[in-house]
Amino acid sequence: MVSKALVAASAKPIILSLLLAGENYGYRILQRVKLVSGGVLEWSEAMLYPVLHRLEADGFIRSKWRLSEEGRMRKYYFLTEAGARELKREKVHWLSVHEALTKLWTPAGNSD
Amino acid sequence: MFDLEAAIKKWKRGLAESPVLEDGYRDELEAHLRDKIADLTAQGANPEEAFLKAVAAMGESGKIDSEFFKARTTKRRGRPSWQPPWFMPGLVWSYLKISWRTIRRQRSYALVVIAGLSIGFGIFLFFFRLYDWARSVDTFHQDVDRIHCVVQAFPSADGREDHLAFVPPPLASALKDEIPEVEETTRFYQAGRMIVASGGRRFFENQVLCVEPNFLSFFDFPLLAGDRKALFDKPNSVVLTRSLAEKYFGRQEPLGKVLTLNNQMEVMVTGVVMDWSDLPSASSITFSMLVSLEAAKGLFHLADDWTNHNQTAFVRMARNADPAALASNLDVFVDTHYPVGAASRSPRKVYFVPLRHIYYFAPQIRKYDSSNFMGYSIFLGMGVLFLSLVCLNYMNLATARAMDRAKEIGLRKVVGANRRQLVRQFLCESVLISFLALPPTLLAYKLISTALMARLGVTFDLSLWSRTSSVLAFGLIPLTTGVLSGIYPAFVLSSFRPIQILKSKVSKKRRRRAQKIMVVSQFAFCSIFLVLGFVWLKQTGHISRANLGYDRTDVLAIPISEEINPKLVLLQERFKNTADVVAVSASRGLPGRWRNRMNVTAGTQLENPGWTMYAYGVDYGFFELLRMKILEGRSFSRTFTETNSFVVNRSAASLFGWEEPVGKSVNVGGQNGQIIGIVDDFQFDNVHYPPGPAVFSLGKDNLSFLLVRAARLDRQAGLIETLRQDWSAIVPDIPFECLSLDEHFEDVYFSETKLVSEILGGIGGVAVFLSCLGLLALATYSVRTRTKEIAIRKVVGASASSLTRMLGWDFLKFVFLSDVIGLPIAYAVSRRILNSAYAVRTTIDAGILILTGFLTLGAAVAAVGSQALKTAVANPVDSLRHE
Repeated sequence: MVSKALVAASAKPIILSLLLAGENYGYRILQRVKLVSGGVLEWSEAMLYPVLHRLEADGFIRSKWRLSEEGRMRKYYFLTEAGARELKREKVHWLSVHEALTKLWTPAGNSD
Repeated sequence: MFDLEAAIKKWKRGLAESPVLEDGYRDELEAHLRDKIADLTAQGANPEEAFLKAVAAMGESGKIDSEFFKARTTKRRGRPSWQPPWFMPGLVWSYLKISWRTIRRQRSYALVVIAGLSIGFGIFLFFFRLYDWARSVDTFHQDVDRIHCVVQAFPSADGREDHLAFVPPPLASALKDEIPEVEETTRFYQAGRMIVASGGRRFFENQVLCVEPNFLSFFDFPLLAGDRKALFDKPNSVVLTRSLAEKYFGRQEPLGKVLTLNNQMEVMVTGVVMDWSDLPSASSITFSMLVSLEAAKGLFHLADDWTNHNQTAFVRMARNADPAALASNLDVFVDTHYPVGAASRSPRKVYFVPLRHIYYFAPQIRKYDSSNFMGYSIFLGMGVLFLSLVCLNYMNLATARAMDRAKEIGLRKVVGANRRQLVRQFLCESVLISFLALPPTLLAYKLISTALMARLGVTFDLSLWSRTSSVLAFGLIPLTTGVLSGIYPAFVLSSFRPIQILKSKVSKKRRRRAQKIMVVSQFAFCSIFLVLGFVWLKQTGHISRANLGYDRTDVLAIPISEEINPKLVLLQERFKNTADVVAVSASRGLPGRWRNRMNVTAGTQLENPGWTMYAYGVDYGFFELLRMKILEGRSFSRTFTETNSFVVNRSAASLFGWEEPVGKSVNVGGQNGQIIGIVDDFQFDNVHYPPGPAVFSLGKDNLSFLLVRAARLDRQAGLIETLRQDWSAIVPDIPFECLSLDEHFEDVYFSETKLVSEILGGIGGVAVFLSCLGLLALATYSVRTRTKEIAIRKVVGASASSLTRMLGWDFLKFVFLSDVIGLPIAYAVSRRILNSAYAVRTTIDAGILILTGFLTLGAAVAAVGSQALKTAVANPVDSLRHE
């Protein structure tokens, strides 16, 4: 089980990354996250929507109500310019964290 | 059939209660829910299952909205804006103001409550202070925690152990020399009676201690004059208490003055110490005069050997010494020092008891001070009981007022107050009321303490402000009682639902049950107090009438001392020839609290362990004077040489186990002799103890009281004057004092039991009064809420008397129930206390219980009856129109 703090911290880049591929809605996002992470990340509904709303309030994503193929109204989210920029920044941060950890965990890295 | 659409709609409406979930959010959540349900049904679940599962996954609305809040705030620990802060300082003033207004609006109610609380506080605080005073016994000695009293344990007649805080004189110094943990020792000898003379005035002094020179540096009795280190540099020195110095020297400087002891030794005053009653806390060691042991040796022929168990010894342990580790050392000590043989009685063991414990944790030890700590704990218990009764009373009244305040509560809730705030408001009120009770509490305390201290005959400082603990108690009591007694009403009152209140539909069922419990327990407490009071009253009468085996009426006791011995026979003859005198004798002690004991063995064999028995020294004619029954043999007689004669009582005779005890030999405290007679059992010791085996010997030169049986009690005054004249003609240099045996008994224990019964009865009376006030208030409120019902009953034909009965019974049945519960408890409690405290005890008969039951019921009838009657005779038209 991934720790709560990590889930909270990674929620933003994950959502932004998902939306980079195109607009999406809450339920689907939840399913995609589960699928992509191989079931490791399992978000609760109670957590997802507040984060989406927060991102929207920050201007990184925007939403639109649209009729779906099933004939129901759904709220779709899509990335804004600011969101894309934010994602780039996040990517740099996460990659540097990833790099540092990889170095530390590679046996050859013992030299330093 | 499960209707999915309806279920979703209902679920969505539930979400609407949350203040953050706006319509759009809810729609979004609904869409999510529908997606999930669709997925789940596609997987094969039926709609209902799918719905429940999906809802469960979404979580409670409360959970969702707090997540929303968390996602928005930048603060780590925040409070959602729709929740009020835990504490709003701004509201405190408003709580206070509103509480004050409520109290002012209901003056009579507040008056009843405040009066009750202040009486309760006053009584509790006084008992607490008294307990604290007794509990802090000896704490004014700086090293009190290191000071221990030396106690010996002997095998006793009944197979258990006798614990004795009187030890042989050499024990103390031997302990100091041989036990490394013992840093310092001191000891004293209680001199009993001494004639003290100064400038031609003579008095008997009874509280004289003969002490080692280091006594006042070992203990920290505050010295008012003199040099603490040099007090007993010379053996002929004496230290007086302030009041004794005043008695002999008035306003003159006492230091350097000379006193004559027992008409034979002159001593100089070298110091003055504080009176017992002025000491900052109780003291287990009391004295009016300290004489050096060195000087006392000459006066009392004290022998410094291991066979006399007559001195009290204290040790001061080294710092960090472990008294428990001493036990084996002390066992060796016993084996090496005590001589062997029946005459010398060596103890089974010697042990140390902390000074602070000897007073109140060690009632089984016979010691230098016979006061009893139990009483103070019982008083404290009663104080607590009374305080809880007062709290119950308050709770009762406060809950009963609920109806009055229902509208207010409803309105408060409508305009946004939540339950927590209301609870605080009510708690604030009860605490405020408790604090308002403080000024009258001071008054109550003053009254109670003045009255009780005058009654107890004590003068020590029991002011509230002289101890931190009592000041703390004074401040904390209103807070704790306020919160404790306010919490239940607060929760009840704040639980009302505004709609129901405003529609005047308050359910009374639950509240009434709690009220019933409170009324019942309140009156149960009352009956416990009353029963205890009655039982003690009866016990006082019982022990004053109890047949203790002798007749003490019309007996006068005149203290004598050794100096009289040469002229004792002459005096007795002179007294015998006085008109109105029936018999004259003498004894070493006075019945009432006479508990001298010795080791007695059957036969003369010294290896026989024997028994510890009461050993009394008396003069010729003693049994006849006290009208004690001689069962076999004879009493002491001048026609025989009685040097080695003993009279035993029946229990002693049966302990020996002989069929024909008269004529057999026994050994009493090392002295061999023969039994010449058997008297019936009797009790000279306090009635707290059962009568035990006893042996009498002829006291001869060691007698303390001259006993005179007068023919007629009413002519005593004249008789005493005649005796006094005879006395001063024969022994002019010895003070004449006289008391009747009845007075002595009064002092010894009737006063004590009478006092307890008065206090218990008094408290019981106040408790009943307060409870009835509470009941009256309850009845008033209850009747008020039933005005309409009563009016209708009347209209359809109920008579005033049947209504009164109905209303009255409503309350009386609880008082009745409380008697049913309280009386057996009271019976058990008082029986238990009686059994543990008294060997001679009265029976607790049904009369007391019935009387108490009638008293509580009667008081309740008086309280409720008037109210019920008033309502019952009221004109129904008025009440119906009014409603």
